[in-house]
Amino acid sequence: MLRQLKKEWPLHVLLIPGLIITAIFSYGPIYGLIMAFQDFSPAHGFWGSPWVGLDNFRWIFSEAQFQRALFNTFFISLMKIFFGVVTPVVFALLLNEIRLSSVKRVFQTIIYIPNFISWVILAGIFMTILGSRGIVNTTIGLFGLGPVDFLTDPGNFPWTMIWTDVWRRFGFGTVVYLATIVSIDPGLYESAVMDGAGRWKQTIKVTLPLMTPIIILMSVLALGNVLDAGFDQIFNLYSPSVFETGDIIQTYVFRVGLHGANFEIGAAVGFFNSVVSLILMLIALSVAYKVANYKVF
Amino acid sequence: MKKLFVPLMMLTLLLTLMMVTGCRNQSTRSTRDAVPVPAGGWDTPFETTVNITAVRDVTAGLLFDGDDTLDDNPWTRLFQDRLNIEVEYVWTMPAGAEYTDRLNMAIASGEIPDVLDVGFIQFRQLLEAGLLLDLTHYYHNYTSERIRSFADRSPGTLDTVTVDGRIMGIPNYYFGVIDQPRTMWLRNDWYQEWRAEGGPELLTVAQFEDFMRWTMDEKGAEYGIALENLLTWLFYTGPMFGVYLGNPGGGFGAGTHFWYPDATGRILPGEAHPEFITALTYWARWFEEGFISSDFAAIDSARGEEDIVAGRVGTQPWLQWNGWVNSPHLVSLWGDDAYQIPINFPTIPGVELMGQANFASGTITVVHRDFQNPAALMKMISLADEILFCLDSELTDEEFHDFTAGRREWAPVPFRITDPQTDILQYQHVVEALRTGDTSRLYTAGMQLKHNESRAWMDDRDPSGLGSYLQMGRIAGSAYSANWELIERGALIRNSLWGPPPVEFNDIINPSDIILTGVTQIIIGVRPVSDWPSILAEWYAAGGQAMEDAVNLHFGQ
Repeated sequence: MLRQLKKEWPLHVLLIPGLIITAIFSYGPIYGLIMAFQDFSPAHGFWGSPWVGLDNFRWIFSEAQFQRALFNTFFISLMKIFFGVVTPVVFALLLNEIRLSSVKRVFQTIIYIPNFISWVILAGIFMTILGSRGIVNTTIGLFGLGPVDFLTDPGNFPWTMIWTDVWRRFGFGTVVYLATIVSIDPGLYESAVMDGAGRWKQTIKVTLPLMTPIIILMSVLALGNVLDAGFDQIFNLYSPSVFETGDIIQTYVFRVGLHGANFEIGAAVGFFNSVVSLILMLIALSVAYKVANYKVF
Repeated sequence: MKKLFVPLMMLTLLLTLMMVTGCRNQSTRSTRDAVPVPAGGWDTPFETTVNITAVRDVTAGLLFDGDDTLDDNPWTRLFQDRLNIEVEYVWTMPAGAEYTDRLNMAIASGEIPDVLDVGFIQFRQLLEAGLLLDLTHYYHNYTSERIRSFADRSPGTLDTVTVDGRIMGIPNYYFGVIDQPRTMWLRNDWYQEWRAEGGPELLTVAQFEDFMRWTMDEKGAEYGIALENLLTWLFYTGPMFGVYLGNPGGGFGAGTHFWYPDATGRILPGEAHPEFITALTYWARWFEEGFISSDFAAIDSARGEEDIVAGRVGTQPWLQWNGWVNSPHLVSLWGDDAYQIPINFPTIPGVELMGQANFASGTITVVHRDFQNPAALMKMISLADEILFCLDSELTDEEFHDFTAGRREWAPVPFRITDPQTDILQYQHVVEALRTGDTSRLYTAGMQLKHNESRAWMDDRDPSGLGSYLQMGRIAGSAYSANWELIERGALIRNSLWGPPPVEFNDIINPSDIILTGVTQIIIGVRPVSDWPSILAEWYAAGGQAMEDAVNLHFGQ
């Protein structure tokens, strides 16, 4: 190990800026978590505010709005993960059937582009096209239907969040799955053809089974972030009429903690969020190792 | 690898150095020692330069001439030249929630400057932490007589910052009760056409509904009344239905209510008065009939204003200074007559219109306990007052322009407070000057500003004058003439919470989103009006009851 270190030490030196950034911005602020156990007063600071034990946690767990936000977070996040896996898998399979590589590349590029647009911009676009006079409702109206309140109806809002997020991100997943498909040994397809398998059977019996490890890996890793339901997206698109079904933990923390200056409540919710996420992440990594032999350390 | 090694190492060291230097903690307080306060009046300059640091919110529309900036402008130069005081703004933020959030962060991290403006919640926090300087001695000895007279002209206001006989901050006061009631703003060109076609003056809600319908049928408006999803504009219309409401969307935990007694004398928030049900019923019907946009729940205030300017809607409930907001844009897009005009709210049968008045001196200028030269703040406040509000400020026209054009009367924040009779006096003197043409009684910079801007619109159709013109210069039809009518006939209802919010509010997270969500869902038809009592009960159970009890404890009879 020492010999290796001696050989590679310049590379380790190059890590220093990254380590410093991580220490300052990721580890440094952790001490602020003590707010979660205090009746925090900004003016008294971290060491002058009175300690209240677990009172803040008791308060948030007794709050119907927190429970609602927790449920919404899980629901929206899990649905995003599910459809965020199914959609790109299906699309990758379809894209793989295109024989003209230039067309395939164009499609890949088109579906990948939304991934680079921020939710601040996308929110403005979606508010326009999903509004009552937007292009979607106008089109629906041509068939004598609607209008549909995509963004203001509590029942529709979570699904609007799920599908717009899937639309934005499925291009990335598609590229990953397509790479997996391309890497499959062509000999397996030749064997399947010799056994009389058509395109459908080849997909079911060869492609999908060989994609399974990467599908599981992607899903399991996504589960580690299940408590991150997409603050940027929801914050820019939600409104009081859909708090009931659209308020997630991050938006709740923002309103209670920062905007309402109840830092201790925000810290308690954030702390809870972090602990649950850590547990989920460890479980996810463990499953990923067992299923797909994927390990970080 | 070897070739790359040296440049990579250099890059690494450079990045590390940059990060370390970038993390240097910038001081938010001046470090000067105490400077002797010169003998003489408040306007005697310091012999040695006094440095003073501050933070501030930046007023919308604040503009400087040439290369001037917030740190170097006519006001900072005035303080330097007349008092030998140098001002440095440590940071600035746009006014509103962004400033409040940044201020909370600054207080939390201990980055407090020498002088800052705070609200009552932060005032209490800083006070409890012992971070504020006792200003009693400095207030009594180094402010002008005029500044001290504000306490008599706005009774009770100085008491809100006086703790155990010690003055712990300087209340910013406010412009006077005339700026409080809200009005309905109509597209002037549309309204004139409506009247020309025989449409009635809008005195009743039924007539107002007819007008909204007419704007949609005849003028191409997509809907009838501009509202936004935090319900602030909607709640302005409460007096139409005999109910008086606050600002539920003031932020989670910060939503404010308008409190007033019911028949038994118990103080309730407007939402708990029976008339609120009537208002909800009207609003739900307005949505159903298309007067309220079908996208209302997704429209924020910026989008609402965009719709007004684009001609998609022709009425808007708003505040007296609306003339600075949409009208200049309307005029440039739709012609000289397209500005918005204010009228008193029409009412439903049986309701006599009342204007709402809140305790408006909600901002306090405070001084960090370690600041060595608090007399400097007193001198600056007095000087700013002399320039803005005094008869004998003796400004030349050029100086007057420098200090007030481009909304620069707000440039000296937090070193200015407001004469509590400013706007009533301004209104009376400006109207008189416009009527008679005699400008000799326009004795303050503010009066001259409002008069000259009104004239600029009336004579030259200069859109930058529309704000003043519609606030007071449009003699028979300004926001202040509408409000003055209410004041003259005593039709004002004061918020029972007249002063700082009860201390108990510090421990209550106002569940205002229950109200926001409930009202919105009723309006858009997701829930029936009959659900309101259960929504209200939910609000009471989640903290509303504790708020109501605290208000009654401190402000009840």
